[in-house]
Amino acid sequence: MLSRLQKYLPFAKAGIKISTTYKLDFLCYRFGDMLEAIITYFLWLSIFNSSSSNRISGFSFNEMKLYVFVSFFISIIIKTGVNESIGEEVKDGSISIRLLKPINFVNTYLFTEIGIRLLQIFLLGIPIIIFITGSYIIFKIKLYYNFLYIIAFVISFAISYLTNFYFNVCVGFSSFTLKNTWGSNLFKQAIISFASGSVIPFNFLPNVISNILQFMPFSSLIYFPTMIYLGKYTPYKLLNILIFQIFWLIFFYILSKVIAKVALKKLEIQGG
Amino acid sequence: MQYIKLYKIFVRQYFKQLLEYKLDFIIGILGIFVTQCLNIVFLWVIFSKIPSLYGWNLDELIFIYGFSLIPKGLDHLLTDNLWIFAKKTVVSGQFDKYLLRPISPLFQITFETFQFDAVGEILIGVLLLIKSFNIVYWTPQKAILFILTIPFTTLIYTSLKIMTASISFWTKKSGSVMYIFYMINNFAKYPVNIYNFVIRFVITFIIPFAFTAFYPASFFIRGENNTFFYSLIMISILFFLLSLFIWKKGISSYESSGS
Amino acid sequence: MKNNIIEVSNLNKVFKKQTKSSNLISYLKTLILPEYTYFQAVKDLNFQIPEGQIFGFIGANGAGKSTTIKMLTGILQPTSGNIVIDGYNPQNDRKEYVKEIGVVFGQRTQLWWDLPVIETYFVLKEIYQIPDSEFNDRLAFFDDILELRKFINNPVRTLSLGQRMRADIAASLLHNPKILFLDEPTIGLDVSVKDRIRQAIKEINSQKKTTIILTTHDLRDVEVLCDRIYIINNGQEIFDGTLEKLKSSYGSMREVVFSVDHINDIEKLNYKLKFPEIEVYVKDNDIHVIFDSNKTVLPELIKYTLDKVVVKNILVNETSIEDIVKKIMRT
Repeated sequence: MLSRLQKYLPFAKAGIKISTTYKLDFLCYRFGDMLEAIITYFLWLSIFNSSSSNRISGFSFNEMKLYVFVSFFISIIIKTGVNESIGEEVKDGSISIRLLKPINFVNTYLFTEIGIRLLQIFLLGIPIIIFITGSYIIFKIKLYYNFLYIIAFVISFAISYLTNFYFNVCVGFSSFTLKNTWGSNLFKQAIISFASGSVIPFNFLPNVISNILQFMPFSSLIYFPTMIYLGKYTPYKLLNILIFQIFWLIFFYILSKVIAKVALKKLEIQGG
Repeated sequence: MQYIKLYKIFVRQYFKQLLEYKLDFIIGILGIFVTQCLNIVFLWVIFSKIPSLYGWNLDELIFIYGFSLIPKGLDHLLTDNLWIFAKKTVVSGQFDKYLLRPISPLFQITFETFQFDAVGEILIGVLLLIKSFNIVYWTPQKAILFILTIPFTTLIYTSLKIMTASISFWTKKSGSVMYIFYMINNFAKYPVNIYNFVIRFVITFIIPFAFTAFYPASFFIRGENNTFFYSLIMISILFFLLSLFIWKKGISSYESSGS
Repeated sequence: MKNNIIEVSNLNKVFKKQTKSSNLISYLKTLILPEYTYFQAVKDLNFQIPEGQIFGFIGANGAGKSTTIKMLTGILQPTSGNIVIDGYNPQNDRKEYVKEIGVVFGQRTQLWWDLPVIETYFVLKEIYQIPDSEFNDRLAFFDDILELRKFINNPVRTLSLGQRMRADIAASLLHNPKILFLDEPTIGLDVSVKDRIRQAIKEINSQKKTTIILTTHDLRDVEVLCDRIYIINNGQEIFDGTLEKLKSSYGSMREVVFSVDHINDIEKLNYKLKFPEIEVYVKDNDIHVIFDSNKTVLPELIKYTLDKVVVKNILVNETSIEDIVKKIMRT
C-alpha cells in the first residue's frame, strides 16, 4: 500500500513546486473571491436587521454568519483546476506522457492537486486563523467546539473534496472539445454554487426544491459539511449524511473512469 | 477615423469566428445569464422572508442590480483583451510588437478582441430594467440623463482595468491584482447603506464603483443624490486620466528595463 | 558614395536589476531597502550602415544582440549614446519612425493568431494606411517571391513554421519600409525552407533596395546574404568588415581532423605544450585541431600526432566561416 503511494510522490512534489511559484498570485485571487463572501455577509446582516424575528428559516444571525464564512472557505479549498488541465493536456497531446506510466493516471492529477493544496492550505491557514479571531471580535461569531461534530466535519469535508475532484475529472474529459472554456466554466460554476448551497442555505428555499437539491450530489460539496459544522444534525442523521456523501463519491469515481475511457478511445480514433 | 476602421475589422473577424464556434458562444452567454439569474433568485427568496431591505423593496433592488450590469457588460464586451494583457502579454514578450506599430499601443490592446459573451450580462441587465421600469417616475430629462450616464459609468470600469493592467509593466503579470479590484464591482449591485462605513468610503471615493450603479440608480428611483451626474462625470474622467498617466509611466519603465 | 541610413555612436545599455532573495527576512529587507545589481549588456558600440546594405549582426547568446536590436527598433531606451536612423531618433519619434521599419522576430509572430493571414494583412493595411493599389501591388510581389497563395486564407495558428515565417516577412514589408530587421529568420527551419527564405531576402534587397539588419546563429545565412559582418561579444564589437576581410584576416586558418581508436589518447597528446597557439576540440572519435598555417607547420603537427597515438585517418579542411567565428569569439 505504502509503496503504491510512493509512486505518486513525485506528482505531489511537482504540485508543491507549482504552488510555491504562484503563491502570491494564489493569495490575490482568493482575496478577490473573499470579497464576495464579505458582500454576502453584509447582505445577510441587513436582511436580519430588516426582519421582525430573530430567526429566519431556522437560522439565527450568528449561525448565518458562520454559514457564510465556513461555506466560503470550503469552496476555496475544494476548488480544483483538474478539468482545465485535462482539457489542455488532451488538446496538446501531452496527456499521452501520463498514460505511458504504469500507474493510475487520474490519480496522478489528484496527487499533483494535493501537492498544490498543501502549501495553499498552509498559506490560507494563517489568514483564516487571523480572520476567525478577527471575526470573533468584529462580527462576534461564536464558534462551536464539539468533538463529534468536528470529526464528522473533517470526514465530510474530505469526501466533499474528493467528490468535487472526480466530478471535475468527468467535466474535463467531456468538455475538452470546447474552445470557450471560460464560458463553460462559468456555466458550471453558477449551477454548482447554487446547487451546493454556497449561495443560500437550502432551508430558505421552498420545501420541494430544498428536498430535490439535498438529494442531488452537489449538496455534498458545501451544504452538508457546513451544516455539520453548525451542529444542525442529530448523530443518527449525521451517519446517514456521511453514507449519502460516500455514495456520490463512489458514483463520480466510477463515472470518471468510464468517461475517461470513452474520451481516450475517441481520441485514439481521431489520432489526436 | 483610422481607429474606427480598424475596430470594424476586429469586430468583423470576431463575428466570423463566432459562426465557427457557435456552441461555445451559446455556452458563454448562457453561463453569464445563469450566474446572474441565480443571484436574482437569491434576492427573490430573501424578499419572500422580509418586506424590505433597509427601506428598499424588491423591485428597487432589481433596478439597481439591472443597472449595474449595463456598464459591466459594455466594458466586458469592448475591452476584455486587457485581461489577456495583464495575464500574459508582457510576460511572454508579446508587448514588443505593439510598440513597433504606428498607432497607440493602448488602443490596440484594449480593443483587439470583442467579447460577445458579455451580451449575456447586457441582456439580463436590460430585462431587469424593463421588469422594474415602472418604479421610476420617468421624465424626458431623466431619460436623457439615463443614456448619458452609461458611457461614464463604463469608463470607470475600463479605467480601473487600464490602471491595474499597467502594473504588469513593472511586475510582468498583474492578472491577480486586476481580479481583486475588479471583484469590488460586486459591491455596487446592492444599496450602499447595507455596508459599513469603511466599505462605503472605499467604493465611493477610492475605487468608485458605487457610481457605476447605486448612486445613479437611486437618483432615478427616488431623485436622491441630485448632483450624482456631475460627480460621476468628474470622477470618471479623473479616473480615466489617472489610468492614462499610470499606463504612460508603465511604458516608459518598460522601455528602460525591457522584458 | 551611399548615404548612411543608420548611425550609431557610443551606444551603451546598463540594466539595473533588483536583487531578489529567497530568504524571507532578507526578502523583507529588500522590500524596504532595495539592493540593485548592474549589468552592462552593450558597451560603446559605434557603426554606420549605408543604404541598401545587408548587415550581418552576429554574436553568441547573451552577447547583447537582442538588446541592441531592441534599442535600434525603439523598444528599449539606451542608457547613453546616440542612434539616428533615417533622420529619426527611434525612441523619441517612435510613431513616425516605426513606419520606416519592418521587424521580424523569428521566435514569435507579429500576426494575429486566430485570423487568416490575409485578414491580418488587411489589419496592417489600416494600421499603416496603405493605399489600395500599392497594397495589391506589394501583395502580388510577395506572393511571387514567397509563395503565399497556398496558405493565405488559413488562420495563422495552423501554419507551419516555414509558412509562418514567410507570412511574417511579407507582413513586415507591406508598408514598404526602408529598413528591415530580421531577428533569426531561419531559426528552426529545415534546409530547403531556409534556402527559399534566403532567396526571398536577397530578392527583396535587390529589388526594393531595402537596408537589412540580420541577426542569426546560422552562419550560412551570413555567407549567402551579408555584405558586411559585425560581431559582438560581451556587448563589445570584436569584428567589423566584409566576408572577404574576415576570411583574409583569419583565412590562414586550417583544420585537421584525426580519427583515433581510443579517444582517451588525447591526454597523451598534450598539444598545448608543443603548439600553444592551436585550438583543439573532440567530436565523436575525432580530434579536431584548428590552427593558423602561418604559425604552425602542418607536417610537424601531423608527425607529432602520429608519434604519440594510433591514427586511423587524417583529414585536412579549409576552415568554415563557422569555425572562424567560433575562434574569434573564444579569444
